[in-house]
Amino acid sequence: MQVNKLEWLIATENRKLLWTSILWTAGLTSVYAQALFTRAYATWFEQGIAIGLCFAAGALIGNIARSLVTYIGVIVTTVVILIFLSVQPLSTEYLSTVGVAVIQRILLIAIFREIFPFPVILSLAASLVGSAMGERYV
Amino acid sequence: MQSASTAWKITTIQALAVVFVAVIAVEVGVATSSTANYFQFYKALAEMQVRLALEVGPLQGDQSANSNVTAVFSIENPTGYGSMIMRALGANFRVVNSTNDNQIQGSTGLDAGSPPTALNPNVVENVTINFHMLLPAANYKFLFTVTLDLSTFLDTLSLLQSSFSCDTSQSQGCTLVSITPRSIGLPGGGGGL
Repeated sequence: MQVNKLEWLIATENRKLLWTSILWTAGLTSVYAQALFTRAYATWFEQGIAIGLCFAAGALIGNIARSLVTYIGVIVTTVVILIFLSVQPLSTEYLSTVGVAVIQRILLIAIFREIFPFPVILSLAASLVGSAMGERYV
Repeated sequence: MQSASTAWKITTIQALAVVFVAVIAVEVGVATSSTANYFQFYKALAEMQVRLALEVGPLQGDQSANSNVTAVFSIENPTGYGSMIMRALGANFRVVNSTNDNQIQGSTGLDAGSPPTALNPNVVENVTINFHMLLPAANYKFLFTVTLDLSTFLDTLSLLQSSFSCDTSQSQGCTLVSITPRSIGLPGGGGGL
């Protein structure tokens, strides 16, 4: 019964794509959020995990065009979630208005420095290589 | 041959999917912990508590009216935030005679007192500063401005300093005056918070 439910969740290509993109977003967001809130930049190890996730997600999707479109959606959603998470606890209850603005600016710089430009290029390449390998071998 | 190939394909996809889900599950767990900690960061900055215990007495073995001043600053992070380090503490002090308004001023420099200390939740860290005054201590009140140089997760972009004002004529603890970021390699710098 449980196996049937699991099979139903991934029974069609669209459902598989939906689950892969949800997990992909959760994975990338987690890697970058953990790095951001610990030291405000991602180490090579963390970038490696992000690239590995992109490779695996691309292989699971197994279609270059779909991988490309999904990757763009995933990276945009990840950035939006990271911005939301980082500014959410900022409040004038704790800091002045100027302070909130200064910290917001620093956090935005940290997020963009963490993801752009090389990590995003390497992740995109990994997902495309993964999807090409998925198409051909898996 | 065809069915063996199909079986291999399913196994590879399933194995990849299992690894994919497992890595994400671990990452989500780690990130949730970091994010929950981060959500208390600003509260920790704003609610940091500094208290001052001051002992003023005559300088031992000194027949003149010189005084020995021992200031013990107690720093406490009353929140659950667990990744803040006090890199250094410094104090500017002003000693005012309440009868004739005579003043003396001084500064300890920012490295006075202690080595870098983790400001763990609800743990009080004490920093002691000693100095001598070439004056008798009677009728003087002490005004300290304490600066904490903080090491936080933002260290690669901005160093944070918290300043507190401590007035010995008032019984309550020190008051937070400002939180100032010193930007590192960012255009425009930063202002007081």
